[in-house]
Amino acid sequence: MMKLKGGYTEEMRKSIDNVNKTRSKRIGEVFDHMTMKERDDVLKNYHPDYKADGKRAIAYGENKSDIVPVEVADILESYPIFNPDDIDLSQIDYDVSILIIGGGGAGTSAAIWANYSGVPVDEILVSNKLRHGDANTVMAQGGIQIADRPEDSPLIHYLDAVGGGHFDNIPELAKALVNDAPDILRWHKDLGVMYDLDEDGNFMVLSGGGTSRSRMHSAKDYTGLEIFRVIRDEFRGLDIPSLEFTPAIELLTDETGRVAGAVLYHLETKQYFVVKAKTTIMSTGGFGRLHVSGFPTTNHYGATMDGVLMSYRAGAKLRNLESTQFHPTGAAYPEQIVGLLITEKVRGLGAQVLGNNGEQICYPLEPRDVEASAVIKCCTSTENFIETPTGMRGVWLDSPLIEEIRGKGTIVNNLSAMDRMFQRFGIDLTVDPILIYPSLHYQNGGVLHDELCHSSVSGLLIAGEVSGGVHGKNRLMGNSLLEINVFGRRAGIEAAKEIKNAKPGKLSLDHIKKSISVIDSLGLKKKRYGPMILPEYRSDIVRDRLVQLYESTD
Amino acid sequence: MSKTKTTLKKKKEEKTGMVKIYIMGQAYDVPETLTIMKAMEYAGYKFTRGSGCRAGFCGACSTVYRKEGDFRIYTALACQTIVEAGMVLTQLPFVPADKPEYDINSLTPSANTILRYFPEVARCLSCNACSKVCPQEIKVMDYVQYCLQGQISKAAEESFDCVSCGLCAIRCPAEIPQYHVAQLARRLHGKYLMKTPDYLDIRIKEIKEDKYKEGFKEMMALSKEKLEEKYKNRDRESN
Amino acid sequence: MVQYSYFPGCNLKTDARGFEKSAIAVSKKLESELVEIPNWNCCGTVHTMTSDNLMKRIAPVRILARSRNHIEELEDTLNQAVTLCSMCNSTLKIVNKEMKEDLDALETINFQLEEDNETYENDMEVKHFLEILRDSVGFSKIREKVVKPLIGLKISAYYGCMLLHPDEAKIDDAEMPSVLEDLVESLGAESIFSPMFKHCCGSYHIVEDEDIVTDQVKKITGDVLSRGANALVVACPLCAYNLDQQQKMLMEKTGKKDVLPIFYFSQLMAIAMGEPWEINHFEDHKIDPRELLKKLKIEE
Repeated sequence: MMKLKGGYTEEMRKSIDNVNKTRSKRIGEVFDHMTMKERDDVLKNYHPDYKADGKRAIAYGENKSDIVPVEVADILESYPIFNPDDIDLSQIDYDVSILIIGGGGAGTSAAIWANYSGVPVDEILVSNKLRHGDANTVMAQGGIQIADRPEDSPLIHYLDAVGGGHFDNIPELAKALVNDAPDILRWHKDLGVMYDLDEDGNFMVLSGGGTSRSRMHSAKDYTGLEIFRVIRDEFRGLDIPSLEFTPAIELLTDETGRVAGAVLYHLETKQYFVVKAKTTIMSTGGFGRLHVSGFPTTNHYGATMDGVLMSYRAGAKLRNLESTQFHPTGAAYPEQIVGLLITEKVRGLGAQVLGNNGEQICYPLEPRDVEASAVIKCCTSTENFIETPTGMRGVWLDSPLIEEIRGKGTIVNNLSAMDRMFQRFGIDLTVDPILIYPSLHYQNGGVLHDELCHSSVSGLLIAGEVSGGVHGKNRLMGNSLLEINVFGRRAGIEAAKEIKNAKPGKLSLDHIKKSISVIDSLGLKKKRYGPMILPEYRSDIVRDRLVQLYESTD
Repeated sequence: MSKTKTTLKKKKEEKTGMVKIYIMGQAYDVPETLTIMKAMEYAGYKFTRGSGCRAGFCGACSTVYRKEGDFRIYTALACQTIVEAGMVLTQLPFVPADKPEYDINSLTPSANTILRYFPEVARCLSCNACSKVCPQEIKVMDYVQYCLQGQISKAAEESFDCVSCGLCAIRCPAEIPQYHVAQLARRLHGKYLMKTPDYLDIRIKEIKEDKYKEGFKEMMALSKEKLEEKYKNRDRESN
Repeated sequence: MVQYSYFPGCNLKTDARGFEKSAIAVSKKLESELVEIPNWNCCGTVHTMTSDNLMKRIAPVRILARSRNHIEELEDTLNQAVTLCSMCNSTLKIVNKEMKEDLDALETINFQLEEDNETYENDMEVKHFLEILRDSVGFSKIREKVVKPLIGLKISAYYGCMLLHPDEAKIDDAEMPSVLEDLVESLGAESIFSPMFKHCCGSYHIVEDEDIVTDQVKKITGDVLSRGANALVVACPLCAYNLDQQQKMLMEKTGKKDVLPIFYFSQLMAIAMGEPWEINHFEDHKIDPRELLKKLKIEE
């Protein structure tokens, strides 16, 4: 074990000396924003989305020929994980009005709002792959964008969002996002969410990357967790039925092609359940555990793009899956936390992004894709990076600068999660900078839907990270915590309306049988299966010694 | 994702940088730099329970352990804790603590509200076993006491970093489900004891009254170039 | 300014808030400020003292340890933990004595506390605020601070059980105490003696056997009224509750008009020292003392 001082090696300490030397002159120093052309350049040359390798055209279906990361294509071009003939669809285990697949922020909001809209709880069912709330929502740290201040407006928020999305956002979706935002904040306050307030009793707000107004409302750096645990408490109080460790493994359709429910699978008992539903809401979240382009991820354990795949097999159109968000500041050291999220709020509070020489390398709050590309550029095209003992490259995020600008104690009061995470590994980020490198963070694209959450397949509503079109090619900080609430709520309200006239027909897995033929026709060299459900992290030694056991039937 | 580069045949001499830990009683040699979570995966466990966010926010990976030769009980979040030689560990797959049902809209932020739904709070012995096992270093006993004293806001602030891992509830001799108590205290504080600035409801009214309707119509009708122009030239608030 | 490490106890923060607020206000006026221990825990009272289980002693000993820690931050203070509540006073005094006499028990408890970086070294005294007023501040100083003498108030001092028993807990002579009378007189009021001054109010029986409490209260108030008093002064939130609530209940049930408003001693001090009345939270009382004060032309 090498000698560490304050958690860092001697080599890294030399670089930290540079940072300490430049700090006083850097206070108040503003690095120029990039021009639109400079943004374009750095993206085209350094962002993984623009690299030719690591991509492939989707080989079949509604989005055939769309270029997407190979990891995404691999999932879409896969065999179902079970034999559809093995499922007895004549026995219905749950007959509900609304099935919600995925109980994260979006799914939970949808369930609550469906109930508020008059749907009795026993007509709703939420299925969760792991525990209720094991989702990316709880890991969102820095804030949620709401244009509530007099100096701000939904129009300005809209412009920020579409600019950040490279003007590829679907306008009605972006409008819904920003217009519903203050209502969401009111709902949260009524439920008891503890949003930070300043001494004057106003919401504490900061800027995020690409925002022209400070509108990031936060609850320290536990914003997602705080919002979710309140919503979850409300959900539990309403007694809405919820299954855990029971992911959906395929959607069900009827003879008209309408989505009519799903097949669920209990990970522990290995039973399957047939759920018939008048309307299904897909809210399965993101795809971080696919490790697109080999990046580590900020996402939770179950983020494996199951919902996009199941929707695609049912015929739903997708959008913007060519676009992957890498969070500019994933932890790069120590090794044990590589890839974990360092919230943008650190930069919002004033930390600067520095190279090995202790100088800024870019404006700290560019939109995420631009910021991430700038960091990648520094680490791959210059010598101005820092290398860790395990060969990881990164740049500094000067957190101690926050204490200088905003006073001692700011970090402990506003970034207690980050403070704790680093203290566990012997690093004090109030005194030393932290090392960062981009980490796979957010699925910018996904299943296409309209402002009432309708996908292109009837009977299937979409809400949350699984969706595509809200953020165009790049999401701004704080718009995802917003999106899950806005569209979760809309999906719940819309589902409550839709079920009044919905009449699902005969349940079938025909669309799965069709999928199998389609995949057969692709002639895959090696069979792939999907949905992935959980990523594989067991060591090689173990995996080389796995074996399929057979049981006597009967 | 980095695949652990290992070979099938491992000789004892080659086990440098490895430590022996005991996962539910079974001995394993694992790389000494791994977190408990990654060490269990290295040893062959594929998590169903016991892995959630993998970043210290969700409380899924509550781990209880002792160290060889040490009688004390230690607790940790598996995703945030590096293994130690001689660790004898297990995980909590679930903590049984049913949450009472209440309607937050009909409650008052007082000690009596807490005691109504959690009368066991009055049994608190001040033994502090809960604070000692909290992986977030929260002074759990203190916030339970604040609840008893009607100091709801202090309880909310002290308990804020809670990830509901359940370790406190398991150790409590008075059988209090502390994290559920804290959740109620926080909601009471957030709803009744924290102000909401006026401008929020003003903005909601403005939107309802279509103040921005025309603005949106205009903006959504702009061509991409015009929109880009508008975006480039927008004024930015200084941070 | 002398500062005292003040232990509130649960009731003083909730139902008896007027008691606390008035006491803190007058303590500042008397330059003997009560400063709350920032991280105190419930002493357990009945729960604590009805069991021999050593675990039940952890709560009160921890309070003493935290108070000891707290006094490091205070001005000009002695090793004293000061309480307002007679039950807390009793619990803490008794446990403090136990620890001084059973060092093995203290050691076992300290094993637990050590892990929290706290230990108790038998170096604290426990005082009720009345003891501080009598012994450290002195009644003449109190008299000096009176700006609105409580003329017309004929107050009977009611001690209840806990202030005078057992030996290790009492703050005055168990047979002929005088601290409350002396206090009342220093505020300009008239003190009326009643032999019911420590006739138990019924205490926790109010929860399950209200009739017992009703009987006790009738006896106490009956005697006090017959001796010409127009108010009672107490030092215990439970006594206050029983006496106040039962009289109200009887008044509504029987139409009985003559009732005795119940004052905490600190509220009387606050009125006499010219503090704004809102700190007394008279609106929490079942029998509003303001009616009597108005009649006697005692104003804010």
